[in-house]
Amino acid sequence: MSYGDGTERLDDDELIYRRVLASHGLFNSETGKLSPEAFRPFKYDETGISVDRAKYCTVREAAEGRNPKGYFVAVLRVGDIRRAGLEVVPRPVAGKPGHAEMPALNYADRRSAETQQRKLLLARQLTLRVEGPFIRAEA
Amino acid sequence: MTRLDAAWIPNENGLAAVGAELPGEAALSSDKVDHNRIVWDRVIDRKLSDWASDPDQLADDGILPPSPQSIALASRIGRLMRDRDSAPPTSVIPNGEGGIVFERACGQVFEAIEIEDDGTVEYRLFEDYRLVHRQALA
Repeated sequence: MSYGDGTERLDDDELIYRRVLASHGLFNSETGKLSPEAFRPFKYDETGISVDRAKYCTVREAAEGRNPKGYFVAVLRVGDIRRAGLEVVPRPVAGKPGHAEMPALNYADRRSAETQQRKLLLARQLTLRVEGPFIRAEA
Repeated sequence: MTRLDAAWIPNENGLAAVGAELPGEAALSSDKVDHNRIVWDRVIDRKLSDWASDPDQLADDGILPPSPQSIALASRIGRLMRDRDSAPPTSVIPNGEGGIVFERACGQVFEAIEIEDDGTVEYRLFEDYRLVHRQALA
């Protein structure tokens, strides 16, 4: 992994990770299909939904969270997302230099036709693969 | 790809017509009808009931599990669509804000019925990733 401060622009060939709750049925491992709801913006996504840059974290690190049933991780390529008219911007936070966001998918715009279409496109066309599930080992 | 692939598209009657047979659509075989009912029953009697009994399994930071009201409304809608021999969903997903989404994918057609926590229900139809129809059902 490459270490920096996370403020550099994402390259087109960079991979990003989107964490997906396993308990919600968002990923059907039998069909290999991901629900558009995996890219739904929530109240805390004021400036865009969160993703992690693969150059700064492993898939397992991207899957960390508190839900005991664990998480899947959707893998996407930045260049594919840009060719679809969306952007991924660096947004490092304390402890997570690889944190990035997709500004076009934000809570204020969550009901628009564009957001609905973008969610479906990300889930069904732009996701390269889904890894996991990753379940937290009990202490 | 045609609108006939959209199994759930409602007419002007909204919720009451969801799942109604489209004009010209071939009648389903009895095996298909039975299969569809079995899948709907699984959604209503297992998945939604499981969520109602253990909503915490669906909680996460900033994510709300489906509310009892959403589960009740989703169950009612599911029974309505089951009894009209409508195609069952390919996925049933919590929307993370107290509501539930029924999804159905068939070829390049994708349909969703979203039951919001405030009781509103919306139908959305996508063709080739474009939202071509959306309609409030309740």
